[in-house]
Amino acid sequence: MLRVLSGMGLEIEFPQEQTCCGQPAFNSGHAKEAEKVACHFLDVFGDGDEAIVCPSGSCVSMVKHYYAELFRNDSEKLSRVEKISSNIYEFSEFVFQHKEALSLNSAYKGRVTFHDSCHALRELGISSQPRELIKSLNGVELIEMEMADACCGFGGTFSIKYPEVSKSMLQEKTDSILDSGADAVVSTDMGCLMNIKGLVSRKKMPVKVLHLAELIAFEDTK
Amino acid sequence: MERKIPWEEQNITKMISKESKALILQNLCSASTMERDVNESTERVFLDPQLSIDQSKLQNDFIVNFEMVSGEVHLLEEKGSLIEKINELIQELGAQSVSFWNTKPLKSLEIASETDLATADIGITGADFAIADTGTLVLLSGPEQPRLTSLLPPVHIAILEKENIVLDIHALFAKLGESYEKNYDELCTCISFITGPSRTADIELNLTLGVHGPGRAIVIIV
Amino acid sequence: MITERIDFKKNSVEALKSPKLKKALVNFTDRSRAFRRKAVNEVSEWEELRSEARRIKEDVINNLDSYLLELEKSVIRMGGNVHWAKDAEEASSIVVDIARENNVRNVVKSKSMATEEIELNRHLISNGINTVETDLGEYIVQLCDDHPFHIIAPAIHKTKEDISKLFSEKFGVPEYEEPEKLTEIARKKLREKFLSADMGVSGVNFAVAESGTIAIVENEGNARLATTVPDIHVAIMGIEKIVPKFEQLSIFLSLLARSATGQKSSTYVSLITGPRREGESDGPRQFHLVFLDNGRSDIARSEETKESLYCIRCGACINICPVYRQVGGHSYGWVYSGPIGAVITPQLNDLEKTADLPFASSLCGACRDVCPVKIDFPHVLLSLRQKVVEQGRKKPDPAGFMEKIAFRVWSFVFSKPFYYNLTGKMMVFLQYFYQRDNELRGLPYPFSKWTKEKNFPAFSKKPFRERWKEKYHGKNRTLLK
Repeated sequence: MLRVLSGMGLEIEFPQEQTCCGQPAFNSGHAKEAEKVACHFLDVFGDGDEAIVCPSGSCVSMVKHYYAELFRNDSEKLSRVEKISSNIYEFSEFVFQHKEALSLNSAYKGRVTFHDSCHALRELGISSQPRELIKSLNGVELIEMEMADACCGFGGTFSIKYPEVSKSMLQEKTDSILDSGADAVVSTDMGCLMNIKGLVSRKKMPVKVLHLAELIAFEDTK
Repeated sequence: MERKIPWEEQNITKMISKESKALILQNLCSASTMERDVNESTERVFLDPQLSIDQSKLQNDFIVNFEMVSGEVHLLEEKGSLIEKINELIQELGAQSVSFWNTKPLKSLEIASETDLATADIGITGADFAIADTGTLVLLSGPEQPRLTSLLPPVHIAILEKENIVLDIHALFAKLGESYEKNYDELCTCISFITGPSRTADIELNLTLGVHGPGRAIVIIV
Repeated sequence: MITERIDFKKNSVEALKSPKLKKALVNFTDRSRAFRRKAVNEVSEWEELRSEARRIKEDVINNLDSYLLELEKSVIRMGGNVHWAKDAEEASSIVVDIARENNVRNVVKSKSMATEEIELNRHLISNGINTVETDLGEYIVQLCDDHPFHIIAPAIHKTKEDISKLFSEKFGVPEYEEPEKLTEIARKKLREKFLSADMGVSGVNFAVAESGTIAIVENEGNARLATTVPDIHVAIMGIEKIVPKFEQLSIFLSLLARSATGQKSSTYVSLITGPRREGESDGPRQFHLVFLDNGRSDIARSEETKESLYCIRCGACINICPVYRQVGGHSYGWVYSGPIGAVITPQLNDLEKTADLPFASSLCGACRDVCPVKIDFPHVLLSLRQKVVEQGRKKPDPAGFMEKIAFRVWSFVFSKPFYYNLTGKMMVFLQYFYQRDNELRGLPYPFSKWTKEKNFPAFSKKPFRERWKEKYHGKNRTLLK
């Protein structure tokens, strides 16, 4: 991601104190614990003067949609949330907005299929941006899998609470990835990617699992 | 099972119901914080403003949609031949007994034998309205227009006057509103919407016609 | 009412074992989704319809008390009777009493989730009243003494062969394979029941406050028969089913059919207003409408979750749900399944016994997108999860306690960069024992739940922030080009 963004000529800041947005606890019903971590997030990213870019749609959605709920009784924090929300972007959304600066020469050559991350798709409305970016890369062909927008079964603690159900959902996902005939699956959420890769590498499936940023900045190492 | 319930016991139910009524309303009272929404624009919102809709297009749409749900349509050019058409259908279906509405076009017809509804082979009714967009017949109940004529016999034939076809369900409700002058105190006891023959897909999703209602629904448009 | 705790995990693991079930589920959900999409795409004003329906429902739930009173008045004006039931027990006993008062022996029922909710059949039968489900799917389910699998398609978990065997056993007919033949047998059996029934029981899809009209939507014609042939018609409605104006039905009827089965219109819609009137030759002589609360008025009071009551029971959320697709209806342990079950079951029952359900979702949000009244399912589920955790604070159970501790620790670590980095280092050290090819396997509990089936990425030996620090000499900000 760093390589992609810097390649676009952007100045990048990485606040060393950053940790997490608090979603894991929030989605498990532990609002108090989530609030503590969310406060830390606000302290680190406080003023929202500069664009915040995140490699997972899920985290962006947490800040944009659920912080308001978390801090509903704290007007000071709410106003900070509002500022930050207007300037936080999921990676593909951000890159697409500035795509004229993007180098389209990925070292990756081949056919990829795209998995929609649920939160990017349904809470941020991101669907065409990553696809357009993939299609614009030289030597990369996008092929759609069946039910690209179906959940991969991750769901945060859901995958630990109901691992059997989660696995069954993931199995369907990897089946459609393999059926698509692509040699790589690309997504824009670390959660989905970790989940999909977990099964792909366990079962040694013949498909690469890449974040969109990894695809764009792909380096031929072999 | 012959025992009659003493009146005290009957009254207990009524008392319970009364108590519960108070309880439910009390519980809801704290929920009702807002004024009723008086915005009544709703019924007009979805109505096509285009008032002079081409009647022959409506008729065609109705036919297409009614046939799409396995309904059958016969188009009649002159009114005089209605009786012939009906008798022809009765012959064709090999029906022994027919039951029909006691309304205008049917009343004056000399149809073979009228019989008890439960054993009739064909039920013949009018249709007060029809909806082009969905292929739906709309039948109002009344002393001369029993509900069961269109329901008990295995074949239902409806006589539809083409002027009574409206565009869509919103137009239909507007039309009903018009004919009742928005005073629903006089609403007939049952308005039946009929879209094709009775159907089910309850056994392995196989579409089967004529479960409980008629297996054939035939419309004669005059 | 639920008496035992719903064990979603156990139920779902059980369901996952059956390939037959999986096949039926995939078949059914694939088809329903495709049909729905096609039907919805035909309507250019679909989004406006959804918004309007939601607006109407918001108004209804916000003013439910006054709308109920208006509906009651309208029904009585049209010659019907209204009964108020605060819970399931009471609703059933009201129906039983109506039956007894009128010496009813045979009851025919059309499909109604509200009657499933109050277990009406059990009550009627235990009072010596013959009660028959007449929707084909429900009839099959009743014959096998089972529960409906889906609110719209109750018997999709049964194969033709199952049904053919069942009919053969129960009626002594040959084992027909053709659905047409099986349907014909059911038609004959049930037609007798209709003609000899003294009372018909139905649900209610919508009830119009201003006119006292109830709308019943179906495809088979059994609801029309059940509400027309017998002398008494009892309709049971959850109190949230109200629509204020008669003409607003057009909005809800077009949303319901397309969302539920992808039909432009269901085969039959009956708008019933009061009992038979003078001069009419058919229709019931008595019309009773039972208002069922059973926890709904409590939901109406909850700002966070009251939108659960906007539901029109179309089942679109169920058909699109990737979790339902794996585990099916029975895993949810009660009448309602899928996302709507996960949302409504815990609110109509003891939260402690149903605490699994709000967590039985990956929060993917597909349900929210298809809901005709735009219920924000993830939001409601999250709010219920918080309630479950809060309740756990008062009454701890071991698993909940462990989770609570885990999140306490997590929250501490993740709000203090020092400990966060330290933990990272510890992980790098600890993972040594589980690492293979830069991935982790065989992790200890609770991570074992992950590594049983999947690998977990290893923590990088040198975390990103350290690499960053080295490269840019501790500076936060850099222009790389």
